[in-house]
Amino acid sequence: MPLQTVTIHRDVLHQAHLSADEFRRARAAEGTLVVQLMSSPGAGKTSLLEATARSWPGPFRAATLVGDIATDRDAQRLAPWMPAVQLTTGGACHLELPLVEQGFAALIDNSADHPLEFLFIENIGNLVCPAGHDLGEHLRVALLATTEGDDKPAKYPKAFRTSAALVITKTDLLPHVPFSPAAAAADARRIQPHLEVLEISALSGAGIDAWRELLLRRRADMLSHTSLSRHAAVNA
Amino acid sequence: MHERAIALAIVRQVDEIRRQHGGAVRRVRLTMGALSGVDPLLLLAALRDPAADAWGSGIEIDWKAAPLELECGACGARMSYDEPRFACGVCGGYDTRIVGGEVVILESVDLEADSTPSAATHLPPFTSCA
Repeated sequence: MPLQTVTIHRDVLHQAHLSADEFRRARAAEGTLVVQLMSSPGAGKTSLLEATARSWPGPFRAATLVGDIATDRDAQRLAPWMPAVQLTTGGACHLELPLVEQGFAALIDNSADHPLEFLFIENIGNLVCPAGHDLGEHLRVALLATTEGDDKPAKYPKAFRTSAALVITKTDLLPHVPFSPAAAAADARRIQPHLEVLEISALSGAGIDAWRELLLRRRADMLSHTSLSRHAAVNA
Repeated sequence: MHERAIALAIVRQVDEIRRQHGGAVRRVRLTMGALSGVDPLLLLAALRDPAADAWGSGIEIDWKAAPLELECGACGARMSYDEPRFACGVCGGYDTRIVGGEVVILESVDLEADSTPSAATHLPPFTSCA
């Protein structure tokens, strides 16, 4: 029987990237900066969000979509601080865009605070699989706790290569652990030289101001970029 | 890693091609990039059952590895690595741009014309992880 070869030559996740770009653009048009937090389990993603909300001066127009394999513990922790929707995968070790879109729709249905200034997506604790999946974020942040070791970034190249910022967490434990923030930052920057590196302690509040400034600056950049694109489109 | 998620995406896309062009799937060709985050043998294993469910047994999956290709922002040099490395091999800087090897590419599909198409294609659920 004759064989027909159909040539495609395309990234298997091409459509997923297009959909993520659409989500990203839609949120930007609404003035919402989408921030994805990625880390190993227990590095402090939820704690960072709690600390951010706790210290925010004025109304915190933010919400979180939080992914886990099981339980809604993280959404429960965040609920006093901001609208939070739990995305429970039941098995998948990473979030994918369709689930994020469903969660976002649920958030908007239940929240009076739309449009948001910040949409946080807290991925499942995992530095491996999430790295390959675009969730429509504007800012991807990798967290690394001082308890994890400063030699870890090179072991997870895709996670750090695809991130724009590295937040070193649990700095309150530095006197007790053999962790060098400078070594960790250098290791991560050998993978992604453009990483902004912050050191924070959610417990003590150290570094949270700088984190808030990073968020505000990134949102301002996004807004000015969006309005430039609109201006260019109108004047084309 | 997440080979099963990638495998399901491949099966869905190949099946869409089968529906558009007609015929029966006989061979799928893939390129697996060094930084795609996928282990080739695990991806092949993850493809086995969904491909058989969709198109019957006997489908050939051909694959080749693609190195990580970088272009240096500082000196303009291009280089290839078989494992994740981001330093420029010429000037030693780290300001490199990835220009290849970051993804799994569906290269082509061989369809056998005028064959009885497989019975109603059974596609697995959208996402799961193993």
